Amino acid sequence: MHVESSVRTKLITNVNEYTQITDDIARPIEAAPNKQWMFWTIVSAIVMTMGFALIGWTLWEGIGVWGLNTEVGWGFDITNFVFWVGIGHAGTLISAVLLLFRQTWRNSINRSAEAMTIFAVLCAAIFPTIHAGRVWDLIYFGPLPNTRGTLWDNFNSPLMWDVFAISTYLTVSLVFWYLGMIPDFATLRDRFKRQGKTTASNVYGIASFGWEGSARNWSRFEIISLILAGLCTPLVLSVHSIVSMDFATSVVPGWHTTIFPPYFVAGAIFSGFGMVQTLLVIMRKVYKLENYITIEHMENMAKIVLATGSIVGLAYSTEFFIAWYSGSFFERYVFINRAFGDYWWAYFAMFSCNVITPQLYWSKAIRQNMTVTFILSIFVNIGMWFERFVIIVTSLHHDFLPARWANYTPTFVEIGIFIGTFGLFFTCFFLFSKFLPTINMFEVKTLLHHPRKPKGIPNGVKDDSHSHH
Amino acid sequence: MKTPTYWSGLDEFEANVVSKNGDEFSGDVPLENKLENATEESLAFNTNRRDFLKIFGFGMTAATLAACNESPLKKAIPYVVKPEEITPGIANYFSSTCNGCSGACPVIVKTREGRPIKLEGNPDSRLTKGGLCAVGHATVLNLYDIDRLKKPLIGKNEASWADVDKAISDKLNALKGKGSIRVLSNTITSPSTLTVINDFLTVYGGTHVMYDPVSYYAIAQSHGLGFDKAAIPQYNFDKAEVIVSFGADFLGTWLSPIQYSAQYVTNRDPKAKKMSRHFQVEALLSLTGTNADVRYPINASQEGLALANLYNKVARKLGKAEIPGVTEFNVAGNGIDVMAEELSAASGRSLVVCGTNDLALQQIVNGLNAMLGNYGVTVDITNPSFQKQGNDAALNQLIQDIKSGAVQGLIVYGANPIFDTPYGEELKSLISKLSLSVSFANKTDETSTLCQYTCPDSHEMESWNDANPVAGNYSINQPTINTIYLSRQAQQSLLNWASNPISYKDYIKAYWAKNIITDMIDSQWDDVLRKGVFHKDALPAAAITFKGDLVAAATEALASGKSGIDLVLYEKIGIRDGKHANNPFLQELPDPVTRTTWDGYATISVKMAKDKNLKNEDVIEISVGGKKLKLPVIVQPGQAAETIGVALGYGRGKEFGKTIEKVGGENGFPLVAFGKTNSYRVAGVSIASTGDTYPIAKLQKYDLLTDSNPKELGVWGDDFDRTEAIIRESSLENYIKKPDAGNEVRAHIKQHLITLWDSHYKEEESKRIIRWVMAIDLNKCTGCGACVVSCNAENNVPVVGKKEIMRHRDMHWMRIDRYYSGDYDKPETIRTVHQPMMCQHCANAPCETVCPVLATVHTSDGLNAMAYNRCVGTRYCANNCPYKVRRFNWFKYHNNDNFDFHQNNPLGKLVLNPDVTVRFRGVMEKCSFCVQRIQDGKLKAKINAKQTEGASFTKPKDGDIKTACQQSCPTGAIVFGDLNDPESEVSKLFRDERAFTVLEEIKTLPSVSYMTKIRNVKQNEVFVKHGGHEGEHKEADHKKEGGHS
Repeated sequence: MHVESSVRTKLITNVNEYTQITDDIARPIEAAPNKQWMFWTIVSAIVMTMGFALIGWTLWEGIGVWGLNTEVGWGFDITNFVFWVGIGHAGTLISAVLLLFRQTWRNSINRSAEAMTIFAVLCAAIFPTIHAGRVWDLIYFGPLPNTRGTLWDNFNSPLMWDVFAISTYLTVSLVFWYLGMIPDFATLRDRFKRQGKTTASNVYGIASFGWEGSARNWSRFEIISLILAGLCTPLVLSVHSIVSMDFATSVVPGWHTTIFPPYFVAGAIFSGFGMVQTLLVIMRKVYKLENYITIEHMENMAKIVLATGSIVGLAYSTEFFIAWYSGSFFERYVFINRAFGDYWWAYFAMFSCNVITPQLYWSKAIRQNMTVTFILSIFVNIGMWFERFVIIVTSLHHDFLPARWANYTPTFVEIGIFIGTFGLFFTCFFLFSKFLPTINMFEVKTLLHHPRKPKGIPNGVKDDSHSHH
Repeated sequence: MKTPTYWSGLDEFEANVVSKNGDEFSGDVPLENKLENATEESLAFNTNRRDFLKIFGFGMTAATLAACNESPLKKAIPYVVKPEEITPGIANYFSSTCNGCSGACPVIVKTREGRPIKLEGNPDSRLTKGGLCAVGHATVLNLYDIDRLKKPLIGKNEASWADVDKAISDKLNALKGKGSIRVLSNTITSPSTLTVINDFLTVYGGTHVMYDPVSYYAIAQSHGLGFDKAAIPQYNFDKAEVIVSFGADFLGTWLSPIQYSAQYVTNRDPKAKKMSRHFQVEALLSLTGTNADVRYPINASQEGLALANLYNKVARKLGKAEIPGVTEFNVAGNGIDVMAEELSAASGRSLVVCGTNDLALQQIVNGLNAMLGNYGVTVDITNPSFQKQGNDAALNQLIQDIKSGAVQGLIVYGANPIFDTPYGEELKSLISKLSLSVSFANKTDETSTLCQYTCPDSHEMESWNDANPVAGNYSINQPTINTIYLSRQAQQSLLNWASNPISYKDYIKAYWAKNIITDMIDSQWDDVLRKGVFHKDALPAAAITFKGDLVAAATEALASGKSGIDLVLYEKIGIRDGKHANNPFLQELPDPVTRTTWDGYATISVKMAKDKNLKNEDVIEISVGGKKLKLPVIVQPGQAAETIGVALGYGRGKEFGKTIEKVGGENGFPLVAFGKTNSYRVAGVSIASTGDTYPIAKLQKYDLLTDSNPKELGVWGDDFDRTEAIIRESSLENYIKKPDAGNEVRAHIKQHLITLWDSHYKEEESKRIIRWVMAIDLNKCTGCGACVVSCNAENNVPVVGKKEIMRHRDMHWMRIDRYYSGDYDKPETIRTVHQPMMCQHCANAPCETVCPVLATVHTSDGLNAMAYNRCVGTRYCANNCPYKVRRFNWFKYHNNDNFDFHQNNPLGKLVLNPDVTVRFRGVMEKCSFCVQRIQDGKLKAKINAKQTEGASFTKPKDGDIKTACQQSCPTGAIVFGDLNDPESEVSKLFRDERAFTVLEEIKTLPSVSYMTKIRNVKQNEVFVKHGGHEGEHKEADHKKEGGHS
């Protein structure tokens, strides 16, 4: 049990009783879907469908419908992959690492951050799948026993590591996320039952795995949460480290650097928090959750963005320094070409969005201004997308032999698929925000300092989720 | 229990049965009744045991029958009686002759299951020594051209041979004896064909006119004037110590390039501590120019002046008479003095050639060669070449005769005069006036569509023929497949029309017995067929005296002074005169110099580009004498300032083929002017920018190994010269002093290359029983592109078309990178190097470690193998390949209408090599070192081992296995073999001081070594950058402005 000093700043404001928390958080789930929600969900679904149609076109015709070429074998596909995986990182960091460090301020944002992680990883998983020339043969990635003698998987290949890293990440995140929702599902089950909505109650009942709210339940729950948090924590570091090794283990100048793992992890957390900011600024406004996702939460995240943004900036500078210091000729060229070559605009976008914009967060006024925060978070998202684009494309397009230098221009198919993944992401997110508790009710309740005695609970009906108090 | 039914008689019995069990044996299936009153119950399943068995039985039988269905139906007709010489899976080889151009190189045709699939040069030939050019390799595809005529045509309608023969014979008989028939052809090197034509003309009356789209008439004429022998001499580049070529692209397109390449390269081995000195004086940067030791760019119209000056300077040195009245002229400061000095020092061992079809210039060249005593040594007029016999004057006369009505019948054989002569437009209107016009074209072309009759000639691989390209050198052409369509070879048609009942095959044999091998017996003939070539010893050079009028010649040569811009119409490697424009291999073959495919264009100099503010892909309008060409521009370093180059062979009518349809460019032949000879150099051209741009499919956009980008920063201190890592080069002087000249850095790199797994690699590689490697001699490689097409044909490399090339998605397994050095603004400093690049089969291959599914692995004999079936197409291997040699199948290139080339039609697919998989979309592919050939060689060695007592394994003998590129190479620049055999040629080359590998410092340990390029240059002839403006140059493609320091 957490014991909070009453003199501490309140992490949630204007909230006095447990019921109020439950009511506030369950409101969107219990109310009829509003028109705005319907509209945006349908728009997202249409965008998603367009993306899948273009994926279908790619599978039908061949990767040739993209703009890639012999020199630049990866473009939008892997850029988008790394971009989405990166976004996922904040969720895990918030839910697992901050849990271990007992940063209770995370309680009101971890649910949506985790949801974001899962949807982002889903979006990410699309790209390595469809970027393969023969999607139908991806079964070869599986370490399946076969009759071909030594022909098995190549465990030297970072792409193989990727398969394990991403699938582990998705599995653990999914389990962690789901597990966290079980007590809340039970709450919803009970509330719907009280309202006489049997079907909804049954659905949430099944989802809650028969949660009773007993001391035994809670004990198990806390233990498994900690174990999963413990499992997730190294994943925060390992997943993006491994993704970075897709590049770092190659011989391509601009990819072949040992700085990549920490650099990518910092970048991932940076971009992840950027995305969390984007989503929460909207969500707290739309669902009127300002009492739970307070300005202080937003400020905290802004500070993390500032810190990781600075780390990323340091990494950019270090790369340049090492390129010069190493004396490696091709390495030097690649970096000069990155900043001043044909793709200078991408580098410029990356550098200004990722290094310069977060510096504005030194100002408390900016950290507390949600409009500015929203705009800056968009910049961070853009910047981090460009970072991956810059790393992938500028390293490949001018590598060793000038005779084989070429530029890369994406086609509408690639751009459409990328936009389509936003459709997928937001469709998932809208469905989540309507049907699942977007804020962790029972954890937020722990943040309430001096709750009033619950009123109006009829005799014989007990809110199960409160049982541990 | 029911009571039994009793019956009293048969009637009652039958009535009972029918009424009681009416359904059981009723005639019809009462299905309709049941459905009509379909109620739940009536449709209910009430099957009894018998019904179940019936349905079960029917079902089983139906399923069995369905399983027996032979679908999809594919016709594969086995031999009822297997021909003795054909074993399925085993190739047969026939010797023949290439008809790609009039060079007539002897070839070996490889056939599989009765279809020719590949050409190789015939190593028994004294001329080519086994080389074959890009065009030659591609001609096999012409055989399977879907656009070929399937039947003879009367007008535009298909007809039977009987009808066509009847109609033509009638018309011929009407013209008989009037002498008004002309047979118009390009050069024919076949003595038998020439005799057939003469026989035919003897019967009907008339003459045979030969012309060449790109004419060499001036050379023959000048020898007529100078030596009373109007023939093209045979040049011996192997005997020349100093070669001065005025615009003759003798390694690329001039006269007999394969033969000359083979000769030229014999003097280019620095090991002999002696190399020929090669000067190239030319306006455009030709392939030969890129190989020259010293190259002087001059404008086309200055050639006469330069030649006359050279003549006089040599004469001065040798104490001979000079040509009076020649204005002083020099190139690149004192270039002419240098050449004169070296030529006169090498009297009798030098050679001057000129590629301009101008009588006056050729006379001066002859005078020079005669003065230097080169006749009888490097220039052999006693044993002349018959490779170009075109007569410009006769062609001109023919047009006049048609105009005047003196010619009534025209039979066009192997020529397309409406496209490739200056008289195209004129002839278009004249041809309809003729009472008989026949074309032997086997694909409709500009001329045949206007002819009354088209009698499709068979492809050379369906025909009998012979060739005599050079005096004393004969070769035979034998069919390797039955005629695919209802074609008939032209000689047979002529024989038929002349009512000669003999078959052309017997005719040739008879001709040979009479004229070539006197008293030939059958075994001798069989020997000729088997070997494909027959040589007679060269006649000893006759003493000659030059009696040309050089003063007159010089006056004429100098009269055409410089005025405005010169236009040079030249032949491009691959496309040549446009005859094979419908061949997708050739259209997709990048030009070795501009590295451009699929389009015609105008090359302009850097200076002109700057002056007129033009850049690559800008469209200009070239106009001269009322004729206009609209072409996109390519800015060509090394080109003379005031000259424009336009390649011939483009602008074929779009309706003449599926491939031609996709080719851009305009026809330059109408700009050819006839004076005394056809002139391919046009002076006084004006150009204007149209403001339009036209995208060009240029495969290589960056020409330099250095980059001036960093200079703009001004802080990084070095100018990114990657030359040392990619190309090593030195001069002969330095090489003689130190054999590792230019390659000194290698020792240093080797010493400092460390890896965590060093021991692992060293042991592995040397432990292999065989380690296949390749050595490429940059000194021998001329960049001609023969290997590229050879590789395409051998390995079923798809053609992808212009759009895909523009996206840098070429599928060539082998490419020839081309880099320039020198000062961009000073054309005389431009040096070029060609570097063949294919999979390097690295021992420490970056592609292998990153493939997640082990689709690319190392074999026990050191190959980097691709398992197409296993490949999922992540493309990581290609990203990680420093040499960028891996090719991804972006689309399915066969059976795809978006790629309507030979792999999209059933005929074109017959060219595919059955030993090589046709790759599916989504997989990676690359050079395999011709693994199918290696496997074949190893199997042969195994069979030999079995026949040898006690031997368990025999390695293939060194040189037994040749890769396709190696086999095609006219200069022997590529050597393939086993590195772990210390005696193999390739292992010796690997130990050579000149050997280096590309990008060695990445420690990929490539299996391909390159030999340092050694040029025979003096110190002062090397352009050395020493900072500042001197070394600054910029590719035209670079988007940004050049830097300043």
